[in-house]
Amino acid sequence: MNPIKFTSVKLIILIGCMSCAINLLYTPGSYGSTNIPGSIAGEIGQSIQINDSVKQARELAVQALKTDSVKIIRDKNISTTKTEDHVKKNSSRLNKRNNYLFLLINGNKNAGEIKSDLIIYGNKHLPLSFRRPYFRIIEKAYNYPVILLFILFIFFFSLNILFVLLVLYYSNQRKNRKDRYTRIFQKMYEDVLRSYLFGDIDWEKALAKLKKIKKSLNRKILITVLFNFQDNLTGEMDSQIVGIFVKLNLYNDALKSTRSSHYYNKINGIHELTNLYPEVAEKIVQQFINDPNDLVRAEAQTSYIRLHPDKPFDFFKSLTSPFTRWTQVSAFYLFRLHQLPVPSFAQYMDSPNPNVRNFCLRMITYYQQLESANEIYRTLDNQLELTRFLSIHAISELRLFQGKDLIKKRYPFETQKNRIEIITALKNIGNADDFDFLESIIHSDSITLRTEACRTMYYMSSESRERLFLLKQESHLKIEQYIDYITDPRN
Amino acid sequence: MQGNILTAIFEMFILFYAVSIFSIYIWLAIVSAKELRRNFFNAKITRYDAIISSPFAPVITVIAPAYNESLTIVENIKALLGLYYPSFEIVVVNDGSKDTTLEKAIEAFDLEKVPYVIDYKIPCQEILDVYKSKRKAFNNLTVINKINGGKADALNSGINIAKGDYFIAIDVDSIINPYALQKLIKPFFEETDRKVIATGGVIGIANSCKIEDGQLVEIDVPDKFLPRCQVIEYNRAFLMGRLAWSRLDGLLLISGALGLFDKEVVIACGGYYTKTVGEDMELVVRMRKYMTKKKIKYKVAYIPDPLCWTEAPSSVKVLGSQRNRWTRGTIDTLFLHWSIFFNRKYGFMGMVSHPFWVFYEWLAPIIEVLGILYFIIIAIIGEPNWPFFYVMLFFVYFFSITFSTYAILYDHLAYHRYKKKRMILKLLLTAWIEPLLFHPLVVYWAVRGNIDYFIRKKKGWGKMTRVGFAKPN
Amino acid sequence: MKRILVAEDNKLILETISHSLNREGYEVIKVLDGKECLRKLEETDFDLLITDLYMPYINGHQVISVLRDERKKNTPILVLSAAGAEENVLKAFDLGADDFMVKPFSLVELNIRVRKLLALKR
Repeated sequence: MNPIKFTSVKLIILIGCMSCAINLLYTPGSYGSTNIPGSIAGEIGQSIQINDSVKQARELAVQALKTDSVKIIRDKNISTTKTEDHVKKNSSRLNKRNNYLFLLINGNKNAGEIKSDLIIYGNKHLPLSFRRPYFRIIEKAYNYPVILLFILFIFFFSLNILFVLLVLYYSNQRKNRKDRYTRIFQKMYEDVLRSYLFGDIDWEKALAKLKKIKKSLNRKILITVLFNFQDNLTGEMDSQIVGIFVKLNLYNDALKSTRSSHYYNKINGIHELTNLYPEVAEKIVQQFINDPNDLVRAEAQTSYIRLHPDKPFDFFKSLTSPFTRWTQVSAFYLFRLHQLPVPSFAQYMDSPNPNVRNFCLRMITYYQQLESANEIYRTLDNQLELTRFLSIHAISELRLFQGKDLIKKRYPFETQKNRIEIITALKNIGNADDFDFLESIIHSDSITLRTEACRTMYYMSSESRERLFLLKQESHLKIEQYIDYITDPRN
Repeated sequence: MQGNILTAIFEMFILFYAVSIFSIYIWLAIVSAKELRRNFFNAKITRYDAIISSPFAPVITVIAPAYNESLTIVENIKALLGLYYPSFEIVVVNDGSKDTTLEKAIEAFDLEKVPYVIDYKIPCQEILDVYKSKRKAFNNLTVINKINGGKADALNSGINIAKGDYFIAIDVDSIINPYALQKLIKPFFEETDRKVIATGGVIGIANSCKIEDGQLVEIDVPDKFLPRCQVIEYNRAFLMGRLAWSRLDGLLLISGALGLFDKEVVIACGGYYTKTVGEDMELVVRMRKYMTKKKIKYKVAYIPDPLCWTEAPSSVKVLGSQRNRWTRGTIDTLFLHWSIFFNRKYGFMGMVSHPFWVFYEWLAPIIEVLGILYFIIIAIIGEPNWPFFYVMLFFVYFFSITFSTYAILYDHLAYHRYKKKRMILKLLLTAWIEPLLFHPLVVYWAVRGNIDYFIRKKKGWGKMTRVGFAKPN
Repeated sequence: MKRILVAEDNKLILETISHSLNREGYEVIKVLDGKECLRKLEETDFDLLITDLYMPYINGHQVISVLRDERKKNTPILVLSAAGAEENVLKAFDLGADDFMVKPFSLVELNIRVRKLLALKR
């Protein structure tokens, strides 16, 4: 979706329409200067004086409409003086402008007709005392159509404000009431369920004490309480909690949530079913693995991992959408939490999806899967900097000595961040062959790389440390400073 | 007097300007509402227990520049130590304070000088000493003592020392929500095809709020008039403006009080620019330019949660100096990066955001003042159309009130920040008075800012006095 | 009867732990944040402290540090937290905690560990 283009087009159209409208309504000498700089509505009203001749022209036009005859104008138009030509132009222009406005509002009815209709109506139906102000209003309205528009605007805004005030008032009441209600019932449910889980009371008694569990808000509160228990406690309580969920038929609510059209409800439903009723969850979750919504997909993926302990990451093979780092973190967390058996991640390393590859590298490193060495070497020249970084990190953490020459070869072509990682790796897998390499880095210009090289040489072995001390003689390098820095454990 | 063409054009222009600014603000409000709704639901379904126990949680450095903060520095650092995040470090930069800021910190946290090798990846004023604590409880605290160089320079020196891949720039006297780091890092982890370079949050105003030991205990509406107006102003800006811009990928500004940045990108851009007073906005614009030039797809994200609470200026003098500074900062940024203006290459930022900022953020107060002057001239020498004038006046006044009222509504529906009826009532009443009393002040300061920038060539920060949270309210 | 102080900002879990320990025959004092925790510790001595890490005002690490370094108390400390990242665990032990349990935890296991810690002669 490209919301940017769409909304900018909308904006241009909107401004265009409004400017056209204003153009049509423009009577010389009336505008308002307003702006809302940054975040504040300022207001300056301004106007300029009405042009004398234009005033005349207007009066003429009004007269013409009043008497419903063009004779006067025609008579006036016979005059050939310049000013009167000017007046004529202005009056006809005014006429046209007024006509446009009314055409807009009233369709094809002639503006003059409407005005005469109104006047006839007034003459026929209104009592005498009302007629004068009525005619005056009509005159004024036809003279200042813009004012009409703005009076309308004012009413519109007043309505808006009233609307917001009402919403605020009722919403505030509702929210406060809901908060109080939730607090009361949450405490009640917590106490009852806790007594039940500890075996102080049996199910029948507990059920009797759980008031109002038919209301949907209360069921939501119940589910929250159950989750609070489950997120914090494991062990035998877990199976009891699942039992409560089923016995109270709460899984029907969860199922209904998954069928909702709103993604927020779907995600909640999937989460509830996965954790509180795993047997049923499996079939339901399957259909969301390729849901168009990113968040629903992510939730379905993490649920899949939880529900398929034998093949938790098989969905990698068919994964076409991204596998975000956030989902990776959640997946790993779940994985560890439920102590699922660790698969060999090397099998997923040839996935075309870079996120999957990165995740596998992280997992291989964490779980020390030494058998994946070849796959790691293969990713060393990947086009993504992060993948290469993770690959070097894996070689370092897994103590893959065969990889040492590979990463040293890559050093000149690598980014700063990866170079640091290569030097750090040598701390774990380096030996005497690398002293020259490290020394050349110490002689280089980059302070950061120099620091890391010193650190590696200091901690690699006693021989490397001695070699490092030899460099102290080159006073321009200030090796003591570096050694002091790296030996402080806080740095 | 003949119908003067010039005056006609001028009036047309002002009218067009007015109409367009109203339309844009309405449109921004609608887009913001959509984004607010999306964030509201996303926040309800997000779980953070995975990130707080994950070995893959990235290291975040909290950089807090401090200048003459001896009143509150110990309390502020203590509050920062309690953030809910597993792997973060705090770097407090003592920017050559003339009071006992450094001494107080050293004493309270048992600090000692440590040998340090500094790689000045971003040039900054010399770092004299680096202090770390002797106590293991404060092992993630680092205090730098350096020669004074200003806030931007202090931030740069913090970046040089920082170990994390990300850093968060804060004002040391703001109160950071303990969950802030978890929430701010999330956008960085959620995008796959675009690189998130920065995330900003909403700033709340802490005047009159109950604060204990650096933690926000109870939220309340400020007692004094000026901070209350600022509450409404911030609501409008954050919830009806920036949300929309972030959704449209046109966000040019992340507040200096709270922003999480990708350290590598910032270093590649050259860090904060020290010769401007609007260093927060300038950095974001420069980062965006950099990513566009490198042809890397990127995103600037935004979390509408109130994650940071700060003390708003309550005296006219201090507030005026702050607004003056903001104006000069905005002008600086816009001019420094003028190449973006209507430049297709920079996408939405170039074609919409930057021009918008030029016309409707920078020029708006100037046009407003010009309009007022014009009206006054006409009122004196000619016949203004008074009925029309009154109608326009009320129209604009009502628009302003409606807008502010909606801002209060947005905040209420999404966060229910001000829970008591009297608080909301206070805010609503302030919304009615604000356009009459507060707005003219803001316009005045903005114009002064322009004068100071262009005519008097003023570049510095001005006086900021600290009241501090330690004092009783 | 042994006295245990439990510091936890989740009220439900606080009550649950307290309930479980009461059944085992201990006296349990409950606090909701770090500041309250330190205050109670100053008032009386406890046989065991069970504390969370992420709490309002003063977090668990600081509580442990104050207890061990400033007040020089030997009270056995069990940390019970959802933030089980390695840094937090190591820091807790470094500061002087005796045990660390990650949430979600088993109440049975908690009871066993509590019993063990109380038996340790310090």
